[in-house]
Amino acid sequence: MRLTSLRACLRGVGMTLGLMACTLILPVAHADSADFAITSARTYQVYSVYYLDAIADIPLDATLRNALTNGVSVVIAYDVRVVRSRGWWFDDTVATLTQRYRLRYHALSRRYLVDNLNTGISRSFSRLGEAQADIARLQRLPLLDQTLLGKGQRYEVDLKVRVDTGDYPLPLRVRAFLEGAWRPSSAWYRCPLT
Amino acid sequence: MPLDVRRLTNRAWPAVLLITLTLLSVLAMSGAVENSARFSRHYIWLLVFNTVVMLALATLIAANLYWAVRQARHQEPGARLTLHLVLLFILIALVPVSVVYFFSIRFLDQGIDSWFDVRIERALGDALDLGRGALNDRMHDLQRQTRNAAVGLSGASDLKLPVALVSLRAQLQASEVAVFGADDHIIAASTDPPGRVVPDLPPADALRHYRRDHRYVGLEPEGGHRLQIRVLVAIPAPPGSVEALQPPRMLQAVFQVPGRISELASQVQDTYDHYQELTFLRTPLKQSFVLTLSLVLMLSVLAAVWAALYSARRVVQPIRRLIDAIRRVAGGDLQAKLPLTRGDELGLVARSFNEMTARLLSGHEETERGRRQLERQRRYLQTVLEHLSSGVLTIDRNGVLRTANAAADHILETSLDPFHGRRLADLGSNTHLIYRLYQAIAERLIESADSWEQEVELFGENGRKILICRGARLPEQPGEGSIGGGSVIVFDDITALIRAQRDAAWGEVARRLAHEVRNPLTPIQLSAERLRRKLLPHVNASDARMLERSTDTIVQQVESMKQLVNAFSDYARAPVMQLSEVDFNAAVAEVIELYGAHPGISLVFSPADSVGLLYADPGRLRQLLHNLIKNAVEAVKDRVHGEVHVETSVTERADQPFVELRISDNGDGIPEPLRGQIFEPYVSGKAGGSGLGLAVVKKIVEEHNGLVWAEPRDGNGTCLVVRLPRWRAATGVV
Repeated sequence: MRLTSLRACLRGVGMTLGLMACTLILPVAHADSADFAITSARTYQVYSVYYLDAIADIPLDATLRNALTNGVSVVIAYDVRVVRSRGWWFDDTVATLTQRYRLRYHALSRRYLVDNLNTGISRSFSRLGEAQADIARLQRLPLLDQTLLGKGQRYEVDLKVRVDTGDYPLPLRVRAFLEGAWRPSSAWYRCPLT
Repeated sequence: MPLDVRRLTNRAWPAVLLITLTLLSVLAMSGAVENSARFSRHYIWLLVFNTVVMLALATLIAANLYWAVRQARHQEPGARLTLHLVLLFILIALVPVSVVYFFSIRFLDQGIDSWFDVRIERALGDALDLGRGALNDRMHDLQRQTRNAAVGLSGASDLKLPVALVSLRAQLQASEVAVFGADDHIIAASTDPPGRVVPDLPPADALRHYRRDHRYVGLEPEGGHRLQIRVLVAIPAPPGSVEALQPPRMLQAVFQVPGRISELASQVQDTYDHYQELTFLRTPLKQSFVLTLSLVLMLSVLAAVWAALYSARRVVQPIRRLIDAIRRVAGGDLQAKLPLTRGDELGLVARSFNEMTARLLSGHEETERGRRQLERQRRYLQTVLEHLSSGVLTIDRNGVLRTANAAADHILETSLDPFHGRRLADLGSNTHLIYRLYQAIAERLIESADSWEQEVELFGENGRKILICRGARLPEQPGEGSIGGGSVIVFDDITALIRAQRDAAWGEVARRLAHEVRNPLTPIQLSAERLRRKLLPHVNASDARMLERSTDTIVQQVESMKQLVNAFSDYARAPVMQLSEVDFNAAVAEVIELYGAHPGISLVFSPADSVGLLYADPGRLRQLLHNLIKNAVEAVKDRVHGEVHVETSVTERADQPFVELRISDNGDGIPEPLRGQIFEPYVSGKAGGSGLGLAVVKKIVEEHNGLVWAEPRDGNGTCLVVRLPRWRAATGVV
C-alpha cells in the first residue's frame, strides 16, 4: 500500500511537471489532434434565409466509445462562422453559431441517445453508428438572414466539428487537455455562402 | 531607465504576488474539484494559470539562486552563509511538506477506492435488469394488445380508419396510433393530444426489425426522464381478399410509460450511469486530486525555497554590511558607518562598530594633524637646508645617503639625487667627489664621537678643493625601518677663503719685501759703482780685475734683485682694471706672433671661431698670455722637437658660457711634489724662475672671475687651462 502511495506521489509530481511541459507546448499538441473531418458542405437560400447542409466524418475511437458505454456523455459541436474575406487583412467574422449534439448511452433501453442541445429534440438509435451518422449529417441548419449581409460583398462559411471538452466531467478535462485522443477535432472547412 | 533584473528578483513583492496568485488559483481549483459550477468551467485555465505562475516563481527562485551561487563564487561577503542558510531552510521545509504530501496521497487513494464496492455495482446492475424486466413484461403485454387491436382493423377501409384509430387509441390507452401503407406512407393516425399533423415516425432500426419479423416492440428514451414504448405490428388482411396478396399494412402504437414507473426507471438508470461514470473516472479523478495536491506541494516548496532565500538574505544582510564596512575600514576609509535599524544583538554590534570607527577616525585625524605639522617642520628645515651655503648630508648607520641639500650638490659638483638611498661605500667610482668625501670621513663616521671636525682636500673638475667638514651623530630611534641613527655632515668649501688668505699674505710679503728691499738696493748699487770708480785707478792690474769683477757682480745682483722686487711689487699691486671688449683669438694670435721665431719649437694655434669677444683688461690679458706661452716655450726649449699647442674653445657650465684656453706642451711636466702648488708665489719648477709667473697668471684670471688649473698630458708635458667667462652681447653681462 505504501508502495502504491509512493507511486501515486511520484506520478503526481510527474503529472505536474508534465502539465508544465504541456503548457509550454500546448499549441503543438492541439495541432496534432485533427482526426474529425468535414467531408462536404454547401449553403443555399430559401426565401431570405441561408441554410447549411454538411456531411462530416466523426469516427469515435475506442477511448471515446469506452467512455460512452461507461456513462460519459460526449458533446459534439459544429462551429460555424460566416466571414467576409478582406484579402489584405484578417477575415471579418459576420456571424458565428455553434450546433451542439450530446451523444450518450441509455443503459436501460440499450440505445444511444442524441440530444440536439440547440433545439432540445432527442433521438435514439439502437446502434452507435446510426447515432454518429445522425450527428454527422447537418441538414437545413439556418445560418442567417440575407438582410444582415452587405450587398456586393463576398461571404464564405467556415465550418469545423469537434468534441467539446468543456462538457466532460472535471477529471476528464485534465486528461483531455493532456491527451489529444479525448479532444478530436476537424480542420476548418470553407465553402462559399450562396 | 533600464530594468534591473537582479534588484527585481531580490525584491519581496514579485514572489509574494506570485505566491498569492497561485494560492488563490489553487483555492479556485479546489472549488472546481468539488464541482463548483463557477470554477469548474475554468478548471483547465486555472490549471494552466497555476502552472505558468509556478514557472514564473521557479524562474524567480532560479534567478535568486543563481545570484547567490555567483556571489559565493566571487567570495562576496556573506554569500556562503546565505547559501548555507538557504539549504538549511529548504531542508527544514521540505521534510514535513514531503511527509504530509505522502500521507495525503495515501489517504486520497484509499478514500476514493472506498467509494467503490462490487456489491453496490452488482446491486445497481440488478436494479437496472429488474427495471428492464418489468418494462419488458409491459412491452410484451402492449405488443399483444396491439396485435389483437390490429386484427380488429383487418379489412377496414381507408375512410373508416381515422375514426377506428381514435377509438383504438382510447382502447389501448396509447399516446399515438398510426397505420402505415406498403411504402411506409401514413394512411391514418390518431395522436394525443389530437391535432399533430405528422405522427412520430418509427426510427430506421425499428422498421428494419419490423420488416424482418413483421413486429417490433422497443423502449425508447425521450428527452428528460420520459420513456415511451413503440410497438409495430402487421394488420392482417381478410382471408381471401385482394389485400392478402399485398404486403400487410403496419400499425404503430406509441405508449408513454406511466409517470411513476418512468421516474423510478430513470432514477435507476441515472444512478447506474453515475456509478458507471464514477467507476470509469476513478483513475482520472485520483489524478486530478493528485495533480491539485502536487500543485499545492510545488507551491509550498517553491514558496519555502523563496522564503528561505529571502530570510537568508535578510539575516545575512547586516553581517554583509558589517563585513563591507570592515573591509572599507581596512582599506583606510574610516567614514564607514553601519545603519542602526535593529535593536537586537546585531544592532549592538553595529553601534559598537560605529563607535570604534569614530574613535579610529578621531585618532587618525590627530595623527594626520601631527603628520601635517611634521611635514611643515620638514619643509621648513628643507627650505633652511636648501638655502644654506654649507653642504649638508645625512648618512644612516649603514652608510646610505639619506639627505643632501643643494649646496652639497654645488660643492661636490654633481647632483646627489641619483645617490639617495645608496650606500656611498658601494659607489666604487673615483669620479664622484661624494665618494671621495665619504672615503675621507669614513673613519669618523664609524667613531663613537658625538661630533667631529675634519679638513678634507679633494680634487675636482675645477681643481683642488678644501672642505671643512663637521659631523654629528644623529640620535638613534628604536623600531624596524626607522631612519634614525647615522650622522649629519655639514661642510663648507673654504678653498677660496684659504686661497684669499694665502694671496693676501703673499701680497703683504711682496709689498713689504718690495718696500724694504728696494730702498737699500740703489745705495748698494751706487756705492759699488763709486768704489769701482774711486779705487780702480789706485790699484794694480790684478786687484783692478778683481775689483771690477766684484763690483760688476754687485751691480748685476742688485739689478737682478731690483727686477725681483719689481716683480713682487707687481704681484702685490692692487688691481686697477681697465675693462673693454677684447677679441680673444686676436689677442692670443698677437702674443703667439712674438714667440713664433723660436728655432726648433713648433707653436700651433687652433682658434675656435665661436669664441668671440671677452670683457677684459687688454694689458693684463696680454701679460697673462705672455706668461703662459713663455712658460710653455721655456718648458720645451731644450727638446729636440718642442711642441706647444694653443687652443681656444667655448664651453658651458651651469648655463654660463666660458671661453677656454688650453696651452699644452711636451716638456718635462710638473714635478709631482709641486702639483697643486704651482700657482702659489715663489713656487717654480724651473731653475732661476722667480715663482711669480703663474702666481701672476692666477691673480689675473681671478681678477677676471675665471679659473686656471694644470692638467698632466698623456705621455709627458703639461696642459694649462684657463677658463674665462664669455661676454654676453645680448645682456652685456660677464
